[in-house]
Formats: sequence, structure tokens, C-alpha cells
Amino acid sequence: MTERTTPPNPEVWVFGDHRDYFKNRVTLELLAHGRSLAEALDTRCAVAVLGHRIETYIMEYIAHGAQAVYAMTAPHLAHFKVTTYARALVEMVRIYRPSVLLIGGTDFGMEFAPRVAKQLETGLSADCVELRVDPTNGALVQTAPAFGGRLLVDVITPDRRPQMATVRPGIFQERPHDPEATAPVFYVDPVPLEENDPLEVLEVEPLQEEECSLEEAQVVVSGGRGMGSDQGFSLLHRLARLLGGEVGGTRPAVIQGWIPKERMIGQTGRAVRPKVLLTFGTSGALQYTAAIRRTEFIIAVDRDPDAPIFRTADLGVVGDALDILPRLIRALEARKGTKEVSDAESARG
Amino acid sequence: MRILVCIKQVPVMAVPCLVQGRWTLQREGLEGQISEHDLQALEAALRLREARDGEVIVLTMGPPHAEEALREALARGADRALLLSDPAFAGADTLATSTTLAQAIRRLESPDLILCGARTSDSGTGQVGPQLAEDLGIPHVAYVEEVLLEGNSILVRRTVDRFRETIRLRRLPTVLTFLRIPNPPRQVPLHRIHEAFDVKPLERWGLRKLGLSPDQVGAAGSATRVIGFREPPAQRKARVLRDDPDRAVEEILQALDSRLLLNVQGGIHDRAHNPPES
Repeated sequence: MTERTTPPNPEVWVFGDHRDYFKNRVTLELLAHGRSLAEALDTRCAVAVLGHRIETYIMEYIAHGAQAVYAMTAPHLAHFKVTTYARALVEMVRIYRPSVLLIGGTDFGMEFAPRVAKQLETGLSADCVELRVDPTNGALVQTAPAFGGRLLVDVITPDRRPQMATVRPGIFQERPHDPEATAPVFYVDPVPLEENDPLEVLEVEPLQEEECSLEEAQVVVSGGRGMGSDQGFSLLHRLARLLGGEVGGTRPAVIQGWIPKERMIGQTGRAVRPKVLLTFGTSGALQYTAAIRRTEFIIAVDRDPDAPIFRTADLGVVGDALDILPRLIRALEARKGTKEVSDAESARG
Repeated sequence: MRILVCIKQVPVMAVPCLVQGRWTLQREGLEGQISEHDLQALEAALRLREARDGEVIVLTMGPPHAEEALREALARGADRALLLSDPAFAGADTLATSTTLAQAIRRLESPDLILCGARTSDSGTGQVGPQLAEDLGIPHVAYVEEVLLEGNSILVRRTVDRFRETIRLRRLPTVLTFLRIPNPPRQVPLHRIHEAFDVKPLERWGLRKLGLSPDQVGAAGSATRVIGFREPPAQRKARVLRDDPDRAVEEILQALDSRLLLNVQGGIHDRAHNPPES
């Protein structure tokens, strides 16, 4: 049996963002979802990757499910420069004409993808939380939050190709690593360096930000507008300390200054997947719920019985967070007190 | 220096806020307001004009009542305003919007800087800024926090993907988009309000003035099509408790116990010391 070298239908492509490879998993997440889209479209899912000395990443993408890799390598592609990368990816798309092109919604991706779409004169949906193939016509249905996150909007790109979407990190689940996997790699001639580029990056330094492991935390305590004040947030910190967890907050809480930006949970912040999330005074905008949906068990407290957060939670309490929280803290402190007493007793005994 | 600020009028959303210990719905008496980050772009523009003489022009595409947003921007200190309004512009996605704005910018006396919010507070795709730059064939820097003028070039600082970058733009024009700047937008001085209505110029341009064809703008010029809105499907079936806070706390504790193997005592860190009995 000869191996099929070209699939019967135009491919599904994922852009390979290999910066900070071990922490930035969005490419692998898209690759996993791209595989299921490709299956529905009877084609294969490929990664398009740019850079310099990227052979390791190419192998990694194949191990994580890429069924083909298109690569453009050159020293001047070493840095992720938006304009150069946009020209390069547009060139690859024009040669191979994929049907779908997915790009990770990092800060870079959100500058880069719109330029690629504009050059290709095609559509682009931002911050998608679902992507599926309409079985009746093969169209990619791109779903994103709308109206402040209360509703979902379904969008298609009827005539133009590729159908493009950005997806934030943490929305889809990556596939396991399979070191035995093989796939063809196609090298494309590099686009030339821009002459006389007016934009020059003078300095890049890693942000000295508070070390916070929201993404890895087993317990996350989170608050939203319903916390009312930073005093409200201090209750969340007390609860988190009692449970050995981390504190996060929604975008409105960040805007109010109740919690630093680095601790924002949401599509434009961080995605969490703890064993338990306790979420207080968060109505449940989709931008927030998209970033918590991989949590094992969600406990939500909100005053509004119709708040969408109760459709995302496992245990819901209709009530004022500022009433429930002190009771919960007192109960946990009482247990802890009992435990300390009993520990002291057993130490004596 | 000529600075163009692209703004968008977005619906005012009523949001519950705690005011003096009471929950109240804060509503302003307006149909629409200037999108939050566009206001920051306007503030940045006004500060640049203070640092170096020049002119601040505000531009929006929208229905006729988007004029309100332009009047507000004039009251805040912009020098003149341009409203792009035509029934043909309706239903535009970011591709068609950026085509329309770029064409208007080409027809204005060439600006040095084009500023806007990095994303609007309604649909918020963050795509118009970069697509505008692509259409005009000029650079774009997103998430700008600081702009420094240096002769004929500018320096900008920004934070992206947890890196702080300093970028020089050796030639203008350029598009800069803002998410957060250190300076809060200024208050509207009362004496400026009448200027905004009676003194400062506001022009209106339609499709013909732009010289674009109807199939390049609005829904016809858009690559995407909305097929529908829907309520998000319930992702989980929550057991919802109400009216009895003590029982609610008891249930939360039970859930924590079973999920975190708290074993009724202490925090999660005790797991290693108190393995659950199986």
C-alpha cells in the first residue's frame, strides 16, 4: 500500500508558535482540535512553522499530532516579527491553499493574525471558544462570546479561504505526546528580509512580575464585580490561604483594582484548571467561563439566581458572597483550630 | 504633528456597582459612549499635542448618532471630527471596516500618527488596528503604554506576552493601539461643551466621497457572516442552593472534603500526612 502524500481535500493548518515552548501550549491545543476538524473534513491537520533552527519543534509538533509540517527557516526568521511573519505565512498559504488556518491568541497572535487575514482578504474570528464543521456543507462554524459575554455568536466565512480564527490558550486540550508518530515535512523557500523597515525593536526584557502559579494551582478562589470592594477581596485571600490555593479575579475586578492584572482569569488573562474553583460574585461572562471550564469541580456563589455562572458550576449558591464567605472562613478556621488542638494532644500523648 | 484618533461608539451597559453599601445599577443618560480604550488613545493624543504643536482629528464609522461620540471627543479637546456614515457601511466585519477607515485616512491630509484602542469594549476583536495598518502599508504597535517623541522618530514602550519591549519607529506614520495608559482620560471641561457643538468642525463623509465601491464596504465587503446568536449551552448541571446560608456553607465544605480529600481537617497540604482511607 502506498502512503497517500496529498489529502483529498484542502488542509486544516495551525500556526506553530514555538516561543517559550514548554509553557506556551496553545499550538498543541489547536493541533489537537485541528485533528478533529480535519477528520470531519476528510483531510489532514498540518502545522505551518517559521523560524531558525526549529527542527526540534517540528519533531514535537509531529509527536503531538501534526500530520504534515510546512516549514520556512532562515536566520532572519529567528525573531517573531509581525510584518515578516505575516508575509511569510501568506506566501505559504498561497502555495498550499489550506481551507482552515488557526492561530493561537497570544499577544503576538492577536497582532499577527489580522494582518495575515487582511493580506489574504479573508475573514477572521477572534477569541473563539468553539470551532466545528457544519456536516451539511463543510463550513467551519466559528463561535465566540458576544454582547458582553452573555451570548455566543456563530460566524462563518462563506466564500473566502482560508477560514481563519484565533483561539486563546487554555480553551482546547492538547493530545498526548507520541514519539513514534511520523509525518512529512515540506520546506518552503524563505521570504526575503524587509529592506529599510521603519520598526526597530531596541530592547526586550522579561517582565518582573509576581510569581504566581494560577495555571498549576489545585485550588483557585476567584472573585468578580460582586465582591464590591478590595475588602471583599481580602476575604478571598483568607479563604485561599486556608485551602492552600491561589486567588484570581475577573476582568471587572482587575479594572476596579481589586486584584493585579497578572491574576486575571479570562480569555485575555489566564486559563485555570484546578481540582476545585470557588468563584464568588462572578456573573459568568463567557470570556470568564471559557477560561475555567477545564476545572474539575466549580462552586459558584452569586446574588443573581439567573446568572449564567450557575450553568457552568457544579454546586451553586444563590446569595451574597460577602455573607457566605465569612461563614465559610469561620467554619474552616474552626476546623483548623480543632485540628491544631487534636494535633497538640496527639503530640502530648 | 497631525494625530488621528479612531474611536467607536459602543452601547452603554448597565452594570451593578456597590455604592455606599448598596447595589445600584449605574446607567448614564446616553445611548452610547466612546469605547474605553479609544478614550485612552484620545488622551494619549491630547498629551502628544501638548508636547508638540499639532492637531488632533477624531474619526469614526457608524450610524448618524455616532456623531455624539465625536462631539464628546471634541469636548475633550480634539480639534475636528470626521463621521463616516452611509447605509452601505452597515454590517461591516473588521476586513470591511479597516478598508473603509483606511480609505478615509488616505483622503485626509496625511496624519503622522493613527491611534486607537487596542480593542473595543463591545465586540472587542482587536483586529481593526492591525488591519488598518496592513491596508495603509505602515507599521503597527499594539498595547502601547508610553510614547516618546524623538525628533522625527518615536519611541514606544509596551508589554506583550510577558515581555517589556522598547521599539523605535524611524519613520512615520504608524498605527499605535492602546490597552492601558498611565494617565486616566481627562474630565470634560464644561466650557468646552458648547465649542464642541458650535465652534469645532465636524464633517460627514459617505460612500461616494470615499470613492469605494459598494461591494468593498459593509456587509457586502465582509468576509464573515453571522449565522446566529444563541445562549451558551449549560456546561454542567449545578445543584443550586438558596435561602439557607448555613446549609450552603455545609454543602461547600462537604464538596471541598470529597474533592480535595481534606479529610475534614486542615488544608489540602495535609493530604500527604493524612492519606484518605480506602
